[in-house]
Amino acid sequence: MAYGLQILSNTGTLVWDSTTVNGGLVVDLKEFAPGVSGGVFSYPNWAGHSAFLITNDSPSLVSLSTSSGMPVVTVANSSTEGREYALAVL
Amino acid sequence: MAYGITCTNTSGQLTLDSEGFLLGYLGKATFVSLTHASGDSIFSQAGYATYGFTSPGTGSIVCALGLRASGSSGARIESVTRTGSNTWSIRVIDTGTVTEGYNNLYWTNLTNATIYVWGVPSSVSGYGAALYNSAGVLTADLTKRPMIFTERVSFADNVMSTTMGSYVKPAIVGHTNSFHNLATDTGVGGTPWFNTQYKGVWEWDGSTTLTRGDILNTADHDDGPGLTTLGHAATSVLIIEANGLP
Repeated sequence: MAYGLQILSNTGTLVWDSTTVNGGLVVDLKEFAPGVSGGVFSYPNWAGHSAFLITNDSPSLVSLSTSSGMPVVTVANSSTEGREYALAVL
Repeated sequence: MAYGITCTNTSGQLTLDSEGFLLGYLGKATFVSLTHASGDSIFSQAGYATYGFTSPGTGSIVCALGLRASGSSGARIESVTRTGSNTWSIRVIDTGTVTEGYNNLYWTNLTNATIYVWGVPSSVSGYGAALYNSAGVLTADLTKRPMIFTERVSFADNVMSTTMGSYVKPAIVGHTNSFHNLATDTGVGGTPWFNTQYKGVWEWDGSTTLTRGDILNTADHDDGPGLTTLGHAATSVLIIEANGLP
């Protein structure tokens, strides 16, 4: 490679190449107890990037639109089970 | 940026930034227990399997379900719940091969679901490289395999199958978003409505077809009104090539 960053396994196998892997950097993870609402993700460092939530809950990946000001996402867990949400930006 | 590190791919998308987390692979969850279908002639509910995972740190985790190349047999991660400072319980719905109970509901007799776990870094390894954010928080341990999203696959409303790429061992992150309900008026006095609620499971044909199948999750007789009928809403999920993950 002429630029970027590579990560190799301990056997020398290439496992990650910053120039070719799909985008989607996790910038925050939050846990939500059952029924908890109002969890807020903010990601001002990445204003202008598109973003989505990663979760095993429904819906799985939520595409989010960033505002020109402070990108903020509010998440509620209406389930009776605990949930984890990760916010990824592209 | 005035400090730290940022990497992008050739499309300009972020792939690494010392202010964001690079999730590292932690291992597989292990089987804990099976819960049978339960209930009676009025209300019954399908069973599930429980898996456990002990993380090396106290940060959050992200789980991916390994897809079985088994056509109509499917599974789904139902929930991921913290049970202690570094312990987690993962509930899996699985069609298995057995039905039981008052409405022939499924319970899984399978104990071999594969659940891959990634997490935020908790400590450095003493070798390799690590990243910290501006607050001094460890954000990447570059000795661990990063979570790589090979592709994102989408389903439109009420579309049950789609095509994905070719994989050796695909794993999926995400929900089928398939909670459809059916209500039938049986005309029987007392509790004329027979309501059934279905939940989706992931089915893979061993090639490039990914399907969100339905399994009966709950069934109940009620005096009405019947449940609102729901379809299969659109969803998007992530696919990961899990081949080679220990």
